[in-house]
Amino acid sequence: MNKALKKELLTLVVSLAVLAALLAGMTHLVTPKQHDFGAMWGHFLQEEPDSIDVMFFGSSITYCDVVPAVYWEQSGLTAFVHAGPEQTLPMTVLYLRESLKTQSPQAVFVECTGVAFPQYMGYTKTNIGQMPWGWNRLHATFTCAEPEVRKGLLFPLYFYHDRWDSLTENDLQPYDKDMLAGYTFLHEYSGRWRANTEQLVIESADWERNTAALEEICALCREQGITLVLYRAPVERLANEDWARLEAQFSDQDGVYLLDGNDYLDRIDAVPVTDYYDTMHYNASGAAKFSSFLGEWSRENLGLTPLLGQDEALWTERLAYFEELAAAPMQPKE
Amino acid sequence: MSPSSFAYMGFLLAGVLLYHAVPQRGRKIVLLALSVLFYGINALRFVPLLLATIVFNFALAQRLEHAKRRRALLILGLTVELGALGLFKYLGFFGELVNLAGGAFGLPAVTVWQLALPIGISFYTFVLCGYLIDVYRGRPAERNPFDFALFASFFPAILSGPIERSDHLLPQLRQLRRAKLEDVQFAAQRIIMGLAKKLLLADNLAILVNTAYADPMQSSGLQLAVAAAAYSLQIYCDFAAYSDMAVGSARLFGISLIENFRAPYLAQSSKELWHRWHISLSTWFRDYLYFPLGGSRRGKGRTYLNILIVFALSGLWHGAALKFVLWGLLFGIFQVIGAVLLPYKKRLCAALGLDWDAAALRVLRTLICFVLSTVAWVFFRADTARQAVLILSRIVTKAGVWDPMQLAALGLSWEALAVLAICVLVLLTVDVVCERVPLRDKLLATVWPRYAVWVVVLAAVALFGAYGTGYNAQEFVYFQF
Repeated sequence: MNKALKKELLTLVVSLAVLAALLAGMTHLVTPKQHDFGAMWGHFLQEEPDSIDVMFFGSSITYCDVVPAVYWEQSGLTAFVHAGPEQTLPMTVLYLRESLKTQSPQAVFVECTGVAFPQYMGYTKTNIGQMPWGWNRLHATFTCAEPEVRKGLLFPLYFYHDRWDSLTENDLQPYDKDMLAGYTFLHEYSGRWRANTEQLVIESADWERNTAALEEICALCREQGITLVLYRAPVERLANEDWARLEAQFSDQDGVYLLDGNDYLDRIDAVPVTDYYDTMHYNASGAAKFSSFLGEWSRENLGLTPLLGQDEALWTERLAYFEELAAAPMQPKE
Repeated sequence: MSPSSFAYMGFLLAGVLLYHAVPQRGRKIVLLALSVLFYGINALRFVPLLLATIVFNFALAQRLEHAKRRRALLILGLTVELGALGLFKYLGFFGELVNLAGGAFGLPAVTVWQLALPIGISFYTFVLCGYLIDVYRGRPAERNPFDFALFASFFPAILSGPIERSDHLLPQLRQLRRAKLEDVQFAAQRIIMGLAKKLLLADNLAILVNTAYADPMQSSGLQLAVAAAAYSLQIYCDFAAYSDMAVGSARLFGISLIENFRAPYLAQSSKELWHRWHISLSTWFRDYLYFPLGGSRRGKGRTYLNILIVFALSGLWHGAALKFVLWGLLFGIFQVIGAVLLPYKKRLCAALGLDWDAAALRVLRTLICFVLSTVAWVFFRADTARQAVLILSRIVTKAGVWDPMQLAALGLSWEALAVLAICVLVLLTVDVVCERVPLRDKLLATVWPRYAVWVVVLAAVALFGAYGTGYNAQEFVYFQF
């Protein structure tokens, strides 16, 4: 190889590295930051490693209904809600795998309404696009994303480069710990509540795919020694007979608990209308009650011990933060 | 498959690797297969037409070389080629003209048929017509059918040119060679610059243009004026981008294509503009129509008529609509008027003690030429000739107060407008510098500076380019011809 060619190749390699760095920097700058409504990887990765006792996964039904600070207050267990908008269960498998790189939860809660979701829902870009780069994100891109979205997931500038002229200070701030630990604060009520929930009809292909994902979650938790709780939120979005099928399939598995929130409505004691954001989601008031119940239930049933070296000051601060937000009167939704 | 797409880059890369992996004797087959495949990917149903055209012209040229009735054979060949072009491209247009004429005499309208336009037909028809005329004029016909087929279908140029000449391309195809390091450097630079012209400039300019032209009656004089100027730049950047991609792609196979642009908006007259714009087409018309009509050898009157004929037909080549003919005629008229007035203008300058070649006058002539060509481009871009006239009249009558805030309503943010303005300035500055200094060649001769420029350009395309969700991918303008 002659000298000119060697110089050319060396310059090419260095230039590609510089270009890649520039593109990575630009991608980081223009990709919207996710501060609520799930898929909060930026905030999740700010948590101290191995500091989370319990993780919650699922869809918006999870990140709107579970307040980790209240859960901690009741159970003494630290928690993080790592759900995503309309997140499918195959995506949840990859979320769990990725989460286990930095955390070692003792228990994992998976909300099971996702067993009714078709292969593609509406928020693939958010769910996968916020994941850190790595094998799990690539796997999600090629197995959980619609073909037409893959280009942008592999090259996010394709989706977001035109945000360059509308960046705000928010976009420039680095992620910090989320004071709500993944919960999305909803301070309104709609006047419609769980009794008006439209039930999902499940296609057999969707059932097969999603229960296979749950089996994968079960196997992963078993392998890692994690207690798994498959739960149905206290709404009947998932039909009773479908929940019964899930119970039949998973209740005999070691280390797996089945929890139907609808069996504990009296205990949760959410007020119809004013504790609900809409027919499927609690607002902050309802979420606090549900989270308190979950904390009690966990204490009574799971036999978990809080991790040593827990940052009590942080969790006290988180609880105070939530209570301060929740102290304001609920507003009707417009 | 647009040359600015990932798919094309993948196709090109795979093609280049395959071409260089096979021995010398296999390269022609590889390149021919790639060309047919490329055409098939873009227009599978018209592959038989392309192949039939190639076979017909190859066979005809063999006869044309030695036949007694050579003129008749040439006429046959040109009739078939131009007839096919007319059928696919102008059938609807002629039908409308017939109805227009018939309507004037109270005749009922006839059904107007419109056939699908085979992609690239305007370009490869002219390549093959030029070849037949060259053979008629005494050049030897190509004996090797593979060389000829490759000449007619060479994929970097088939969709939108450059319109190659047999004496330029065929010798290269006969002796295909590997690309050297200099070829790869050249190709990379041209492809990167082509991507920048297309995604950074042309497609962002298109946003301004499309917004204003979508509803001209709602746009102010300033908005339409800016959109008109933007279109002049858009079409230059768009077409030059395609040519850059074509020239760069070809060089990766060791093949040089004709250059199609030479800083056209630095022209100081309409005549000079067409020596710098779509050079392969303008020289084609010069060599195969203007000169046979007599060129400038039959007196001024005939010269001016020839110019108008050439430009009218050039306009018609671009599209089957009256507005294209008017567009072409406008350029012809500008050139004729320019020729008529030139001696008077020089005399006036001398009388005023001005140096004709003074910088200020050169700039003035360049600006006037740009304005005149922008007027012509309005006809090219507008939906109809009538709309073009409306737009031009609104630019003048609705000038009113030129409020810069109106620019914010043309689809781009202020920041995006600023970036676009900077990019246009950079492009024009490079064009100006390259008139005196071979800047691009000097850059190619360096290593680190060259890569630094490439990295900056690619990063700029990635951040500011018009691509991705939220954008309608703009086809290359000349694909429609």
